[in-house]
Amino acid sequence: MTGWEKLPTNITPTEVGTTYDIYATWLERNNVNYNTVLTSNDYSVAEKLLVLKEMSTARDTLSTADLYPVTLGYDGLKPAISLISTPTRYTGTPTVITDYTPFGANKSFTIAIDYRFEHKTSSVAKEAVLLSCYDNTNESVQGFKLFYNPSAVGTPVPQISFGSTAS
Amino acid sequence: MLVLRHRAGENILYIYCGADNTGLATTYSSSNFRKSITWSSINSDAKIVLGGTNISNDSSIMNATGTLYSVKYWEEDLGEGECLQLANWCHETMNFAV
Repeated sequence: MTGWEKLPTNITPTEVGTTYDIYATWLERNNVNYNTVLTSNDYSVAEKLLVLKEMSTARDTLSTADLYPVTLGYDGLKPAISLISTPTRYTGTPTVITDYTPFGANKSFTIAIDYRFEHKTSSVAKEAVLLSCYDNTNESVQGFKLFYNPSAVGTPVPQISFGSTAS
Repeated sequence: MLVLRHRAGENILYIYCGADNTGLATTYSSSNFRKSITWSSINSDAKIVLGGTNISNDSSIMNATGTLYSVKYWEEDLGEGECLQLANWCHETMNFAV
């Protein structure tokens, strides 16, 4: 958890008549704004729960029925680059992210995709692509695509292919 | 939730999806929550495209209708353990009240 390393090493849990609140110290040293922490994806669940604990002890700053959204989930140990800032619905107009070349020489990548298809039944056996990574300047285009088959009946089955677009 | 992973120097795409392994099929192998796909060679200037593709000369593909809730990208290989955890814990927002 970011900030813990700033705690003094000679900390003692209890001082004379006072409980040394290690959580409060962490918050103080990070200049934490409660609202920022709770609504940001940059903080872990543990950090958000910590903030909730602090808020419950600081009742003078709260009003009854105040709501605090906490998003549970795992965000990885290392900070990610968010390619979209908010959930986005796509209806046929793609957005090209020009900042990165995942398959460039000597490059590794990890990408986490939270998505949902809307099933549009079509008699045409095309592949409906929601996210892809291809080189459109290379005739033997290679990369990956996340897609489903709209001519199939029922709930869309997500598929991934890696290689040329025809793979 | 889907996690894709690629390591420099390999022609392999590793795929991880949630614990429910019924949702994802690939053109290469049967359903599984962890799999890898190998391609003959990758040397590409490919860009990530959200909501469809940047390919104009392939009539067999179209842009889908759907929602991307989050797309997170790391310019490094996070490793298998991290990828499995990412794929298995979807984000869910809960409201707490005082």
